[in-house]
Amino acid sequence: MSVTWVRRRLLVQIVTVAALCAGINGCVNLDDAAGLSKLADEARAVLPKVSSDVSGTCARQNILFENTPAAERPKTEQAQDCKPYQELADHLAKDQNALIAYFDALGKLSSNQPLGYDAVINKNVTASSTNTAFSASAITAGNDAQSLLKSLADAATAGYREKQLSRLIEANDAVVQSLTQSLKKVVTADYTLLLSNEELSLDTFYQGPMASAQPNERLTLILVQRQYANDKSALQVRKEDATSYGKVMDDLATLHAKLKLEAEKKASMVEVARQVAPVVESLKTTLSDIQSRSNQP
Amino acid sequence: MKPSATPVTTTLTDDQMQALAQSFHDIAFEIGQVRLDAISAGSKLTDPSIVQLQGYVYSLMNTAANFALQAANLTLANADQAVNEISLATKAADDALDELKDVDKAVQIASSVVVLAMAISTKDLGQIATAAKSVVTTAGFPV
Repeated sequence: MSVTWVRRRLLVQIVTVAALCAGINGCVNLDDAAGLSKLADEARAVLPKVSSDVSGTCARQNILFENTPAAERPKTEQAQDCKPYQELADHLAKDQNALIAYFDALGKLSSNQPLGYDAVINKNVTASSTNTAFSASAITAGNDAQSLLKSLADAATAGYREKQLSRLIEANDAVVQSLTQSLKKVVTADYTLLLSNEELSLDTFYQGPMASAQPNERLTLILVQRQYANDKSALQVRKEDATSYGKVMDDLATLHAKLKLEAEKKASMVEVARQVAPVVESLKTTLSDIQSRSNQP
Repeated sequence: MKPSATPVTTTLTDDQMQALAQSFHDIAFEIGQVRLDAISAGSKLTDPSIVQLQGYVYSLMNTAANFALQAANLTLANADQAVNEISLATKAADDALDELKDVDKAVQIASSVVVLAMAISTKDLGQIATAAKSVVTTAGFPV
């Protein structure tokens, strides 16, 4: 079954359900059309697997360092301080949570469900302080996330409902575009460089002792080679996850831009569904890819 | 007499910081390769020069990570000129280390790059320029 065929079928399904629903009782809304709440749930479950590994890579590199015999490294060298890594991971988690909460809120507002987390939003706006020692992209992401959370808090306070949704989407598009691109940059460039450092640590840790192995250590060498291959494979998965994270951010940006365009045109929900179906499908596929890679043994 | 112009102080862009981080990572990789080649050729893991190279690999990886993680505050006078000098120096080191078999030479080049990394952290343009020149000459290129 080709990917094109599956996508076409999904598009037909979304549009058909939206059209039927609208025809029968007018029930269709943005959440039916784009599946925003469900998408937010999936993103909430999957994206932290990637962003939290910013601190994970430091911990793994330190394990390799500590398992290197003291005689093989200078006495002055010390394990890395993982605090900056952890701070960036926490910062990323807050910013991506704000982004996810925003898409979730769009879905809930469109279906006239109560937001139900006004207090959490207010708390996050206060807590999402920006550490000025981070890279420019991380700082931009922090500022954008604060802006989104503030916008959501205002929407919750003002009792926004479906009819005011377009206003919210139009007002926040620039922030969503900026936030998604900043998060993408931090993960696909900065975090990927940290993973390249980890790869160099792995190569250094294994290849030196392997190259100097004695002929009578053949069986030990085989075991070590297998462990090395496993570690390299796990690292490759993390690199693929980082690339997928970037794709998710691009797709979220595209999805929001399409929603804004359709809001400006005051398009019907059937038309909105038709326009966003391919990008929603792409998002689901990419999130599912990250999820399945994390389930691999 | 004309008053001398005050150098413009600018914060390095994200892309400039990313490029610097990548350069220091690439040099760490090349030094690691020289070390592994030497081990394959018979050097012991505990030989002083091999241990020293290992230390430089750690040191330059840390530099790269610091640039990637928390780089927003790197503000330099004449930032573009400084970045240009650093880039020329790191490229010279990278080129010289590629396929290098001489461990002692690799130690010298690595040491000069570590000094350059420390000079960058001082944010002093004079120190950066001197350290960058030292990298280029140690790598065997004319300044």
